[in-house]
Amino acid sequence: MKHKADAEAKVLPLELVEKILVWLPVKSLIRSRCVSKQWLSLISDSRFAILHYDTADAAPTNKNTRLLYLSSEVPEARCVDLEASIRGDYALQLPLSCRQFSLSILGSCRGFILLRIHVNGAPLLLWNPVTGSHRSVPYPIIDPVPSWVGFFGSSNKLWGGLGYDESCDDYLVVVGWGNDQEWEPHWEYFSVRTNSWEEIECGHLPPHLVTIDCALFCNGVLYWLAVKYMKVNVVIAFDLAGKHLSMVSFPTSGGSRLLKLFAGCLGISYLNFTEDQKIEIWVMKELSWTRLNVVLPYAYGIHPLCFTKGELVGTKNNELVKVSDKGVSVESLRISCHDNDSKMVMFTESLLSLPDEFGGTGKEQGK
Amino acid sequence: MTQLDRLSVYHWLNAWCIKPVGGALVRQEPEYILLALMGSPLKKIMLCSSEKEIFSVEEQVMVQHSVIINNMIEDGSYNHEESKIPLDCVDSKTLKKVIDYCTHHTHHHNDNQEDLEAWDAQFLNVDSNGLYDLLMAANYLEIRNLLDLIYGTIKNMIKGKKIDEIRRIFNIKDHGFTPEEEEQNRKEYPHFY
Repeated sequence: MKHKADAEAKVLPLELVEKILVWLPVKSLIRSRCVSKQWLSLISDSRFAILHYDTADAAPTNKNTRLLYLSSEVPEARCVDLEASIRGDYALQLPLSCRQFSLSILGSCRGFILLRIHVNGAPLLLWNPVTGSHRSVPYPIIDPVPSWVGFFGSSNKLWGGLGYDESCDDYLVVVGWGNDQEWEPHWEYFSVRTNSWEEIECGHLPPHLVTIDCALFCNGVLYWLAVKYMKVNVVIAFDLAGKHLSMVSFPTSGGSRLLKLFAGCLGISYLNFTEDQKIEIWVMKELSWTRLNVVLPYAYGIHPLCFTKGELVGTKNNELVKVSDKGVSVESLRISCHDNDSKMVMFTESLLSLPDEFGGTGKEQGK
Repeated sequence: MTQLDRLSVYHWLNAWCIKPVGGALVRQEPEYILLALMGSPLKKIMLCSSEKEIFSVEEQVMVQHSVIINNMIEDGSYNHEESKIPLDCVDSKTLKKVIDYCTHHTHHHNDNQEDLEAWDAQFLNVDSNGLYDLLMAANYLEIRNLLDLIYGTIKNMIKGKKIDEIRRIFNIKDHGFTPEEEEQNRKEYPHFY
């Protein structure tokens, strides 16, 4: 757009408009698409989506991080901004093809959510709730037909996760299944770029069973909390670049509970059942664990979700609760969802699109 | 110890001809070094607006804030004797404001955060055209903190506004959508309008 030099009606050149828009939260960007055709084409450009995501991610806390949960009352997903007031949640439309089914969330990464549809024969779904675009993940072809396809009600367990391999700009869907009796677990990953499944070597791990279906993606590694011999908790890690599974040990103190992401690092919250009944938060930095100086009084029944600006946000029955570091409830929001059945995930809103969608690519020009 | 007389100092400096400028050592004319040693007023540079008006400003102030001006001084392309830096895309009114900003922030950088923010808010209390002129100037001169300030301000101006208001803020007269497309947008996002 030309820069008009006269005193009336000065218009900013598009390069400067871009520099402003890059700082906007995703919701404002969606709105801004309606301002003009130029803005629409700027914001819809995949290059801008990447620039916007990287800018937001480079900040100390990503301002586009939200809690997304699947409502048990209506077929929709709802989003809460945990940093701001948790009273404001908004709805996001589920993909049309899965609105009538029961769903669960297996993982999230860079604005995409990995959905599992509770119907025999239904594929997994990679979904960007902001743009609405989604892609099916076809089944792995292995022999015999995996029984995880018709899994529900059995003692077999399915877990999964979604991660991003920066080294080749690829998204990987990781899926595992097994049971706590005698089966060796089976692990596979699906690459969005090659559109194919590969097995993951897991014989070196002791037999485990993953207790939490939803993986956490952090710094190029997917993490799951697992139970060994029904007692000891361990963390399983899958390195996306090396396609390698391993175990991460962590300091034992009290009953470990949930695995959540804190400030870009891997964190664990412990419910410490000593006299003073505290929630401890440990953070992993470069394979060593440090306990954060904040220790919160254990407000009975709260499952911690995230820790932001000295306040703990967690779920308690059907409520989302924000608790100050004195244990005082600051805010609460009634939600139609339980934390422990994979219907909830922390995710980062983005405008990104999957590689090879519509013939375009994520990063490179052309292919 | 013998007292160094002015001439000796002059010769000594002449031999070396170096002076720290903006953190780097640059060749300088000995007369200027002498003047500086004698406690003369701080070195000034000349900026020339698009309307050919000359503004004299402390070199240190501009060098601290503007990457472009800092580079010009450092690589020696600016000759203090005769040059003025021509800024053809910045008019006098805007240039004066930019200089104001840089001068205030240099001299008051030890002030507390609230006072600085209050001053900044007052500084940006201008109309849209003025804001754009400042943004273009700050972008051209690469003044990081002024740019961040303006981006933040404009970002807050847009947040939560209706589409028509945003178009007004950005002086977008022709949005480029066909009537059908505009109608479609309004149907899909009625709360934006």
